[in-house]
Amino acid sequence: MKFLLLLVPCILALWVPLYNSIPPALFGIPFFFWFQLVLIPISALAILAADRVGKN
Amino acid sequence: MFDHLNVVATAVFVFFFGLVSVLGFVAARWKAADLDHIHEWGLGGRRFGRWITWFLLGGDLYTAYTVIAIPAVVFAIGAFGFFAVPYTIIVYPFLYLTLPRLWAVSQKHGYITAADFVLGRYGHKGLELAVAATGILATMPYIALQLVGLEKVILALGFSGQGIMAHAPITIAFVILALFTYKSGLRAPAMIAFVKDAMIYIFIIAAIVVIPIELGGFGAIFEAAGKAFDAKDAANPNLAAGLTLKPSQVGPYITLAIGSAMALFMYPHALTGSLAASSGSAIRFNTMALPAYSLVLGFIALLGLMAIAAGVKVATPQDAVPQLVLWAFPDWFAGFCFAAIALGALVPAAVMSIGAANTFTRNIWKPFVHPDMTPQEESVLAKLASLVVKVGALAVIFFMPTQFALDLQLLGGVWMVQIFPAMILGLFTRWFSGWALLVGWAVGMIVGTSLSWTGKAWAPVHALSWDIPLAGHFDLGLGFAAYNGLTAVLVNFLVAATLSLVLRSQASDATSPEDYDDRALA
Repeated sequence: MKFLLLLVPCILALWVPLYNSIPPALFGIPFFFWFQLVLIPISALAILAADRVGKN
Repeated sequence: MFDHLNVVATAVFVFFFGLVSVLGFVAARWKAADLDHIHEWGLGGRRFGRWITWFLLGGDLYTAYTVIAIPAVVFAIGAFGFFAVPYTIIVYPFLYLTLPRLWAVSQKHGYITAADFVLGRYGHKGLELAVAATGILATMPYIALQLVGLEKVILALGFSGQGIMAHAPITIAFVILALFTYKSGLRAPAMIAFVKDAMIYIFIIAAIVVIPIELGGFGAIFEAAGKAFDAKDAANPNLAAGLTLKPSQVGPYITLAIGSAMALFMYPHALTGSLAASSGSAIRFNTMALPAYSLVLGFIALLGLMAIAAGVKVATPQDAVPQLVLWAFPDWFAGFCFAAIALGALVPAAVMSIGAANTFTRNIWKPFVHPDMTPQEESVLAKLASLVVKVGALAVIFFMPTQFALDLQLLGGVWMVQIFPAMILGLFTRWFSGWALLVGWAVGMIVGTSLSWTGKAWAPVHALSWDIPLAGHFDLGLGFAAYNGLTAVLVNFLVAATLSLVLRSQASDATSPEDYDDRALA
């Protein structure tokens, strides 16, 4: 579980065809840009979750 | 020389620069200890808690050059410059798994450099030298590029000089930097990082709020940028400019992100900042907290698009951010932003010179020239080496074209990742032997360097097909181009693994499995 939590944001970040498009735009920002920006805090939360799981 | 000087901006700039210089000298008394010990001078006594480490590593990794270069690529060709975002996303889960182990074993055995660990783990002086030399070689151009970032903002302040005077401001800045680093060691950049990072956050938050309002919203910015890229693309399709990646860019985008992430913590400055942490949990905390800087980096990248929408005029793409700042903000705040970027050059330049100096002292001078050095002699030599490294970087800027530093920096990344197998595999297993890793490293260096030479210029990516002399054409059939650092490190790994099968390691291992568990040490 810990490793899965660490792996998921990496796979999403490297799965370029998934987000290499303009729509759906958010506040006028193309998907390509906002998806990657949103993924940054998600990846931090995933590491936090992995840390919690790892301790128990 | 001062005819076009922006007086208000320059005054603010000089004020913050002066303030921080004072801090750099005062830092010698912070967490007071005997700075005549390399462990204290070069690693702050390993007493930096989670927040100091956050500021220090944030200031150290997200450099002035980054603030200039990443938006420059986005300004020039759009989407491709955003590779820095997936790069900084994947690096932290990886660090969460590896860096606490390196911290623990280094704490236990008093290692202060990557090469220290490699020597302890593999008992192989040749591999130690290879790791040390790679680190120093890759760091030198990186420091020189911090100067390029510094020079860009000084240029934007309206300073123009001829001949030797053209470099007068960065020379003064670097002399100040050299002196406080010499005196205070790692404490200086750690203390300055507080101010610098706070200023960068203020700069970016203001930019991300104010500039879109001035330009009529994000929609208008992306529309203008999209049109500009379409025009560029029509004029020159080889440039591959656009708001999304062209099919030919996808392979390079992914492999550059992976390879850069693998290389980042091989650099001496990244390890110096990490090993100075006071505990493994301070490091784990930072793998969750440092992404805040990645978010800032993502916003900084967007500045490249805003510069297009604002229609700023530039001589080179690297002027995009400074010119955008002048366009968007009143003079006093432009001076503040430029000071933030300039300080963003000093923190990494200081840590890089300390990291390189520690490495030179511990892993080149001590083992090969003067094995009986006392800790005091180590400290004296490291301080001197930090000066030499900075003079060298300054000389590169003085006497070489900027392209030389850029090319070396590009190659530096390709080289740096070649110590990845020895370092990272070594944290988990001693199955690999020192000789095998050394041969793998040498092969990786040669493959990476030769892939990068296109016959006319140096380039970071290469198609996965080669014409090998005597052997003919060779094609992996994957149909995409990849980052040379990654291709070369895969070859490096295969060579090291194959040779390790044949040449079993007989050398001693100074570490034991429990040394790698920081929670057990605590």
